[in-house]
Amino acid sequence: MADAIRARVEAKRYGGKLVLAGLEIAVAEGEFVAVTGPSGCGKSTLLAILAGLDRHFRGEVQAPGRLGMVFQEPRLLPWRSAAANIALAAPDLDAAAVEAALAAVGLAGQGALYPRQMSLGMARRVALARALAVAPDILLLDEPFVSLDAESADLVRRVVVADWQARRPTVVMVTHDLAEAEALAQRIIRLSSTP
Amino acid sequence: MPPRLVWQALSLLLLAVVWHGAALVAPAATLPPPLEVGRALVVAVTQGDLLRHLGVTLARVGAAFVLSLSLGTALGVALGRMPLLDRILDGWVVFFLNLPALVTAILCFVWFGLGEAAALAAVAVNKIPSVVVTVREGARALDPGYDAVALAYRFGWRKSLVHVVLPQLAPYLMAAARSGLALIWKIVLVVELLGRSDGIGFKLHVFFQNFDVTGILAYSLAFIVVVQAIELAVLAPLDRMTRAWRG
Repeated sequence: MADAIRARVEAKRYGGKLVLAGLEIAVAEGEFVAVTGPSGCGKSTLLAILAGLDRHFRGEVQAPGRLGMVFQEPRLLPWRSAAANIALAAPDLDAAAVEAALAAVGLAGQGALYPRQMSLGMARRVALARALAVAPDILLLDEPFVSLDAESADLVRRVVVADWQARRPTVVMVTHDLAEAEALAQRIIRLSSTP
Repeated sequence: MPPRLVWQALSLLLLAVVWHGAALVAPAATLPPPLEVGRALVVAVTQGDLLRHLGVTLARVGAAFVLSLSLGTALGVALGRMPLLDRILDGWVVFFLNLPALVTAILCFVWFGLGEAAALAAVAVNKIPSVVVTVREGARALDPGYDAVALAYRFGWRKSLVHVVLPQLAPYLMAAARSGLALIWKIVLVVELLGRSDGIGFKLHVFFQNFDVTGILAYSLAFIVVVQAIELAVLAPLDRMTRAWRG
C-alpha cells in the first residue's frame, strides 16, 4: 500500500533548543498510527509539521491528501456557532449534513450554540465533528480524549474508530496515554524526551 | 426610553441652561443664547444654504473616512503581521502622527493646488497614522491558533480574511472608525476653511470675518447633530452587531 504521509525531520528547533532531530516517518494509506512520548518531546510539534502548519524546520514532508485535524484545544472560532464552524471547514455540506455531523458526536440540535455556551467536552466534540465533516484522507488527532469525562471520551473514541473502519482514512493520533495508543492504533511511534 | 439616553438628554439640557446663563452675562454679540442660535439654525435650514454646505462637507467627510480607514487598515494589518516592515516604517508612523493637521493642509494646497484631491489628501494623511496604530495593535493580537485552523482546513486568503481575521480585528476597526469620524470632520472643517469655497468650514470662515457668532454656533450645532446621528444610527449598531457573539 502506498504511503499517505512521508516525513523527514532533520532538525526542528524552538528558540535555539532542538526539539526534533533525525526523524523519518512513513504512514501507509489507511493506517492508524499513534505517536506517544513524554511531555515536551515534540509530539504536537510533529503533528503541526505533518499538517503543514509548521514549516520552520529542516527536512521535508509529503502529505498530499485532504486534511482533518483535531487540535489539543478545540480552537472553534468563537464568533461562529457550532454549525457554522463545521460548515466553514466543510463548505460542500448542506445544513442537514452539518446537523448529521453534530448528531454523530452526540450534539444533535446543538448547532446554534456558540463556543462560549459550550462545555470544554462539547467544544472538543464539535472540533471532532468539524474534522470528520471534511471526510479527510488524513486525520490528525492531538490528544483527542484529554480533559474529557469518561462518557464523552468513550463516545469520541467510538466515533473515531467508526469513521476509520468505515472510510479508512490515514490516522495519526498523538497521545501521552500508552494504553490508549495500544488499544486504538495499529502501530505506535514512541518519541524520546531528548532528540 | 433607556436610562442612558435619559441621562444624556438631561446632560444636554444642563449644558443649554449653563450656556443660557453665560449668555445673560456675556455681551450679546460674543455669546448669543441657545434659543437665538436655534432660531438662526431653523432659518439657515429653511431659507439659507446650510443643507447644501452640510451636504458638501459630509461628502468630503465620507470620502476621507473611507480612504483613511481602508488605507490605514491595510497598512496597519501589514505592519502588525510583518515585524521587519513595522521596524522600517514605525518612524514614519510616529512622524505623521505628530504632524499638525494645519501643516498638512497648507502643504497639500501648496503642492497640489486648491482642489478637492488636495483637500482629501490632507485629511487622509492626518487620519491614516492613527488608524494604522490602532489596527496594528489588533493585527499583533491575532490568535495564531485560528490561523492554524484556517490553514489546516484550507480556507484560502479571502475566507480567512472574512471569517478569521476581520472578526478578531472588529473591535479595533470600530475604535478606529469611531475616533476617525470624530477627528475627520474636524480636520475637514480646517481644510475647508483654508482652501475651499464651499462646505461648513468655508461658511464658518465667512461668519468669522463678519463676526457672526450666531451663525458660527448654528452651523456648528447642525454639524454636531448630524455626526451624532451617524454615530447613533450607523456606528453604534454596527459595534453591537460585531460584539453580538460575545453575548
